[in-house]
Amino acid sequence: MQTRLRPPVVATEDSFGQPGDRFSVARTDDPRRLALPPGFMTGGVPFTELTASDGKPLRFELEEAVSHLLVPDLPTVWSEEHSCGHLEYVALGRFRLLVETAGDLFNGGEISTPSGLRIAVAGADDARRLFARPRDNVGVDEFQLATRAAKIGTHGGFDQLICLPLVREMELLDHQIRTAKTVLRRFRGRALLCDEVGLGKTIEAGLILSELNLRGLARSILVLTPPSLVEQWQGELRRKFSLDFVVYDDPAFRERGIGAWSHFDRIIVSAHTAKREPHRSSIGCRRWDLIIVDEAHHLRNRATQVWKFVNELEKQFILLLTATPVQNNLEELFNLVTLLEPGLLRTSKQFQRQFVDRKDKLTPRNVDELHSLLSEVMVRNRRSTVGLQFTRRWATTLSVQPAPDESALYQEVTAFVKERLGSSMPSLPSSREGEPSGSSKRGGIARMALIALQMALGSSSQAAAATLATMSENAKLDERVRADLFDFSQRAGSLPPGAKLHRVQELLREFQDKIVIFTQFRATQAMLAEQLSRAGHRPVMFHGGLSRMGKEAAIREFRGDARILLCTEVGSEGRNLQFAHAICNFDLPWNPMKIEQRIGRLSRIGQTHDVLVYNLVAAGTIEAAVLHLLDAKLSMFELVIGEIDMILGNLDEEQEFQDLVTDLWAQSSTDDDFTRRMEELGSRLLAAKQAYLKQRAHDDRLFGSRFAPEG
Amino acid sequence: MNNRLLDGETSRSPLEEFLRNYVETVSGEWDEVEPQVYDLMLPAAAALDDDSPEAEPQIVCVTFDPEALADHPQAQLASLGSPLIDRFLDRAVELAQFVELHVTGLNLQPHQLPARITRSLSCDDGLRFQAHAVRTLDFPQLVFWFEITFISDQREQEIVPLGIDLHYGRQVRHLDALLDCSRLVTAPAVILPEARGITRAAAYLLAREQVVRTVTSLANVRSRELTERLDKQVARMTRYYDDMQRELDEQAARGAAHSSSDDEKYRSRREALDHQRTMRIAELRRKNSLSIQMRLLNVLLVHQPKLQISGTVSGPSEENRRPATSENVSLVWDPLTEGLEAVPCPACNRPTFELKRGRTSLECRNCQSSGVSKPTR
Repeated sequence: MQTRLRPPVVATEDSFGQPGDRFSVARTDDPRRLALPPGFMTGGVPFTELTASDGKPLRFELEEAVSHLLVPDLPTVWSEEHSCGHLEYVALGRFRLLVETAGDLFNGGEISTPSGLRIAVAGADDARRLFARPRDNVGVDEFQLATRAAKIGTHGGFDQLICLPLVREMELLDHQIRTAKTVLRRFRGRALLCDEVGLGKTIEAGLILSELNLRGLARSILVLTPPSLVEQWQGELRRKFSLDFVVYDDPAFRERGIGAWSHFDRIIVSAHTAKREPHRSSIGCRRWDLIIVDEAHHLRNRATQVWKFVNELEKQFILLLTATPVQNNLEELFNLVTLLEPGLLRTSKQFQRQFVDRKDKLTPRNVDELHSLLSEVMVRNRRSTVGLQFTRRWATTLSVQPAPDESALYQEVTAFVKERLGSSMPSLPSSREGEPSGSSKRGGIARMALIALQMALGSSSQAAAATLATMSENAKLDERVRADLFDFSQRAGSLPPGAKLHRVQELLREFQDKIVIFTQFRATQAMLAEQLSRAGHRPVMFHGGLSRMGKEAAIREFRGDARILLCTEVGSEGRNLQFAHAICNFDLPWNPMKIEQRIGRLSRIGQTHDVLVYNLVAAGTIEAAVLHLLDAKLSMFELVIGEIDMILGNLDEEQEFQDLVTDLWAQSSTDDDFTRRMEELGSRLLAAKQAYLKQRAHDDRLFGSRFAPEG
Repeated sequence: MNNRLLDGETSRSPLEEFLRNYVETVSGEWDEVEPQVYDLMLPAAAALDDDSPEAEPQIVCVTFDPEALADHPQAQLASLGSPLIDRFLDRAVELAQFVELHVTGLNLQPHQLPARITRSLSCDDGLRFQAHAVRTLDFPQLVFWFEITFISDQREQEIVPLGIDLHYGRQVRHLDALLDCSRLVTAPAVILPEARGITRAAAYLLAREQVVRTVTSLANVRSRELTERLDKQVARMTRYYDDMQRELDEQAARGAAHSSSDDEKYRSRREALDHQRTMRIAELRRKNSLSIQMRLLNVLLVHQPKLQISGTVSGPSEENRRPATSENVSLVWDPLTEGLEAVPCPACNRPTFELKRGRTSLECRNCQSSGVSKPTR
């Protein structure tokens, strides 16, 4: 057999045919065939003999059309999958097949460095890659894509946080990023986050959590919060960090019983539940990569069950979040730090001796040394040092007198609601023996539904009509109750838009700039849209029913020519509206946190004007009483974001503020009685505010600005 | 929702760019349904790890914006760490785990080559290089991308690329120029014989050795830091538990003066302290132990034509000192850098551009100064 190969075109003489010249060949899917280099076999040079590396002749056949060499005995000389081969030119017409195999490379194991460190090497995988057969059609583009993918999938040190591009629905602030880096780099994931209120401790914890999770350092994560914040944490982690956590109350969790604690890796639970058996033992059975304790001031006392519980847990990383690490004595600080780094402040006795004034347990001694030790675990951002100074807010109450029809309907529906709410309250004097309890006393109407109805009534007759109509269709309710509800809904639906609308129209004439009008109810929003449009305005609607693109379009329009944005709370979080500087609360949530969130849409970084807040209330309503309490008594609108939460937290109430107000109202026998009760609550709130301010002042004295994150 | 949209910015994240490129590269199709929401049509192999030829193409909807999930419930969230994206990243790396490319567009007939060689290669007085033949050969160079992972209570990764010239068995210094994609193609313009060189396995070991050297210094820094911290923390914690133990003993001693019924209580508190001490110190050791992993991600075999120049370095005898010299020397001209490659010293094999007379053969300046081969006097 003789075939001629054409010499390649080269720049110099004598380029082909020197003994020892080699050409790489590749194996094909057929174990008997070799692929020659492209263009190699186009005739010209003789190919008469092929031998194996040991000189043994090999039968072969040239397949010119496909540039293949058929070697029937190839499997006997080239059997290994991970190998490569060459044809070596021996003499005119004679070639030798040389095969190189991976050999020992498959034995991975470890490499020891001179300093005794061991580096684990992926021997088999490396060998497979080194001798992989190049895929067809894989060229420069694929190569570039692969290196880009490797780069994206490779994570350097914590100087570069990889979670940042994934954070949604918010603008991260510089101090939050610096805090996350400091905690990860310097504190190695064990820290006390004591930022002043409103600076985003939750966001900082979320960043740290997300970063550890993305890097595979934190798989088992337990978040301990007060009961009221469990859902908020779940929502924020899902929305802002795309992290799904299961909550202890979730049916999926409950279904698994006690085994759920080891089954799920990311759990949010109230510390109150977690510290109790049988949960406590189950939680303690496993090792946690990360534990986050929100409102960690509940761990200030190490004699409590919750402190002991957290102390017992095995954990790699732990974050304690509190704005007020010290309240009554400095030992509280010792207790928190000891959860993070036992021994950092020595024993309690030694700590007292060295760092606490003998006469005043709140006054520190050896402050510099104490600060130096604390700076190993503590971050405290302050509004004054992070440059987060918001413009002022000016609140104006726009009180209106409802029309007689409106007022009459309000009184009647209010009486209906109050009767049903009040009758189910065990503490109520009017509650009579022998009466049925719970929802049956309320005519089958759930407490939440009654509260929602009362709020709708406070918003507009249109919102009330819609809520009443829906309730009247509930077949589970008593016939008589349904008839009453239906009657009310008819009356509410027939009422013209009320006095509040007229006041809003006046406001829009007085205030000519962009304004966001908030309402809790879609029916109110629709009414406003219709009425304002009739009056020649061009309001933009924004609500949770819009698609994502619809929401963007609405914001774009408002940023552009439109002057009025009609907005519900749902879906507005994360939207930056700071290009406007006035909001109007057409109705008022009973929960001050919701009011704060509304204002927070405008009163934020980037806002250059003072923010004007117009609160519309009808005289004699619950909303008017709530507003009086929050504004006149508490000066809520002068507080910075987050402070109201701290004050409410100091109230020492198990109930949420909204429930507290509802109960006060339901329990009061007359309007005067309600006013008196609200005054009492106001006094307690004022005391709580004073306590908070005192505590804040003490924290400032104790910590100063020493604990800012690095960077 | 991403605020960038509100601000009217259209810049895409690197991950989003990657996704588009990946889909195109695997011969799929993407359709941007709305900003940050994509319908992808992917060959089964690219989508599902299913290489069977009969597998159907897959339609996948992905979004980079969690908020879009409400409008597109069928969409998967695309983020680092999500199974889909991790699979795409892995597949993209796998796709090019071994790639073979050729450098083209080089000047293989350099102007005044002999003169440029003479200028580059410095020969001792009286020595002269005389070229006999010039051949164009294929000089394979292997470029390795190693991924190094340091794991302790932090996790850091680095990708270290390193090229090895198989002919000389040394590290490629001009990696950027070699990897300039504008010059790389999948098929060569001409078929050239390969220059002799070391094997792939040898090149891999050489590269790995080099990378280990780099990694070692990085690892030492980390290890030192961890050890120092661990020692400090363990000492602190040991002192803490010792102090706690002593305080407990004192308390027990005081208690014993009044009543002996508290023995059991103190014994269980001591046990609890011991348990805590063991657990906390074990926690610290786990947290501060460093493990290092190294793996090869990609290999690129670059075939590059270079000129091999065979010749002799010769010189006349020096009276009463050295006999006449004439040694065969093979040089390599790299058209990519337009320069002569350093020659392995005939005596010590180290790369050099200077050849001097040695006692028995030519040698480099290093050999002379270190006295490896003293010239005869």
